[in-house]
Amino acid sequence: MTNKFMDNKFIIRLFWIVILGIIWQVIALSEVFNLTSFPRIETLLASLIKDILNGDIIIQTLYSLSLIFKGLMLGLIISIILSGISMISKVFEGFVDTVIAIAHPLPGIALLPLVILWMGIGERAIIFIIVHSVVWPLTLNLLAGFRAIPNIYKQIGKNYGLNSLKIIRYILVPASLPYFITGLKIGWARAWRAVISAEMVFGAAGSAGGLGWFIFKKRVFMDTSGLFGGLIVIILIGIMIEDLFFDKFEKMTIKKWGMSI
Amino acid sequence: MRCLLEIKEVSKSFKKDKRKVKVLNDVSFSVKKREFVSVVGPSGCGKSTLLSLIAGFDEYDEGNIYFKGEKVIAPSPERVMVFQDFNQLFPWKTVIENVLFPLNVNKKETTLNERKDLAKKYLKMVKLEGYEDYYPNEISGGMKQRTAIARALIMKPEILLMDEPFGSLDAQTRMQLQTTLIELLEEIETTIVFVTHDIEEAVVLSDRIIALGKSSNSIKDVMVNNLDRPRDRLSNKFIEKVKKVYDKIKE
Ligand SMILES: Nc1ncnc2c1ncn2[C@@H]1O[C@H](COP(=O)(O)OP(=O)(O)OP(=O)(O)O)[C@@H](O)[C@H]1O
Ligand SMILES: [Mg+2]
Repeated sequence: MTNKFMDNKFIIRLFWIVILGIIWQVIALSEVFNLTSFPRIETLLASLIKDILNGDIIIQTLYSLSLIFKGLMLGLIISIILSGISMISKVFEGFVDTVIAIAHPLPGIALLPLVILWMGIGERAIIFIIVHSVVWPLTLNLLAGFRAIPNIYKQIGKNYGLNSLKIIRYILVPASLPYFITGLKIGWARAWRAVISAEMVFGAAGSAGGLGWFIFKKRVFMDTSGLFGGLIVIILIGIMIEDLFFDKFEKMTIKKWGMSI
Repeated sequence: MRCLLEIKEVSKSFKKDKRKVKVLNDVSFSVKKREFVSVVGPSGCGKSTLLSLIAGFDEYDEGNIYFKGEKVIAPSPERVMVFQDFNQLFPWKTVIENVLFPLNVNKKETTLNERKDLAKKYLKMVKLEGYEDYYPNEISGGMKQRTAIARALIMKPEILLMDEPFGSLDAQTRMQLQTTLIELLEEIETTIVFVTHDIEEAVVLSDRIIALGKSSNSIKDVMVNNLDRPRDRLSNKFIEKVKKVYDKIKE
């Protein structure tokens, strides 16, 4: 009984979150730090609920997520094209390898000043940063995935009369799924961090500024509890995507098929 | 009458560190329709290479391979290969989806239901009834090879090329699969070139045994095997035959 209880990843998580919450509350109550910079949990939660109820934090979160979604999709398309052409042409493979070697080590945020110079501040600039964060790790992983496909699969494809396009569509793409997921995970993690940072620098260009801007505003107005509320939302979304979405997706696909790398 | 498959003075080398290493040297033999030919020989003598030349996966340097009178230049669903590797099934497809794969991608003029019935029929023939919806990582090595055979046969190939398909199985499972293969041949009209290094397996299955030598890189001997079927592994004749083949291929 106790074993089963401790085996559940979710319950273990919850247990430690509660413990950390208690430690937090003890520190806050002891007033070692100023209560405005280290608020009690109930103040913090009340502020978060307030921001949820008045819709502010929800709109900002949805805005950030929509940016990420656009950037991810665009990055995905570019990665597929880059890795696809690399597989077909040796010349292009060298080119893509070189571009990745140059661009991959650059943190998106380091590019910000340049991006502002080139395209001003606004949605396009943020999406550019997201695409940059996603496209290199994803391309690297897709290439690794294509290269790791056993030769036997391609032979079987040819043997059953598939042309190159069908081999890509029916064999290479599913066979590289584990690498694709890994690339997407890294890409997502980078994009999510990049979008928050970029929003903090850019601020509200339009009606919404995103979660990063939300946090930035809270600091400007010395609303520490509101600031923590924003951080909690960032954490929750991170956990939701990384632990729940990707985990579920892997369990439904590559883990079930015994294909994990 | 021409033979179904004719291999004429075929040679093949691989480049290794800028040096050419000859793997097959002047190999010639023919296979008749509905014949079961085994190719035996020590490890590294070029058995797999020979089979992949027949399949059209690789190019030969000299000589000719004719299939139904035409030169082999590329792979074709008429010459289907079954590998030793358990990995030959697609892990993201269930057993029945794997068997359906060649039919589905070739979009034959049949409905999906007809194709599914056909796949089930072939799975029944290889004794995999009830495992249709299992994924490859949920079945044993022997079952994987059975699935691979069903997938190959569903294409109704003129010739089945088998590269040590039972080589990674334990002795008991290997015998079970040999039995299944023999039973299959009564139902299906196909020609088989079967690579193995298990002499007993060659004697139990084939009509003719071709021995490749490692030092010569060529055919050492061709032995006709006309033991009555079904063959009894414990009979004196069978044991004698196995001994004879052993003696012939010793280097
Ligand atoms: N792609 C390749 N490049 C270079 N050398 C190769 C290649 N494929 C095979 N060889 C060489 O050709 C020789 C014959 O290999 P092959 O796989 O045909 O042997 P085999 O008879 O099937 O052996 P086994 O019984 O171990 O499977 C070996 O010496 C091997 O090193
Ligand atoms: Mg071999």
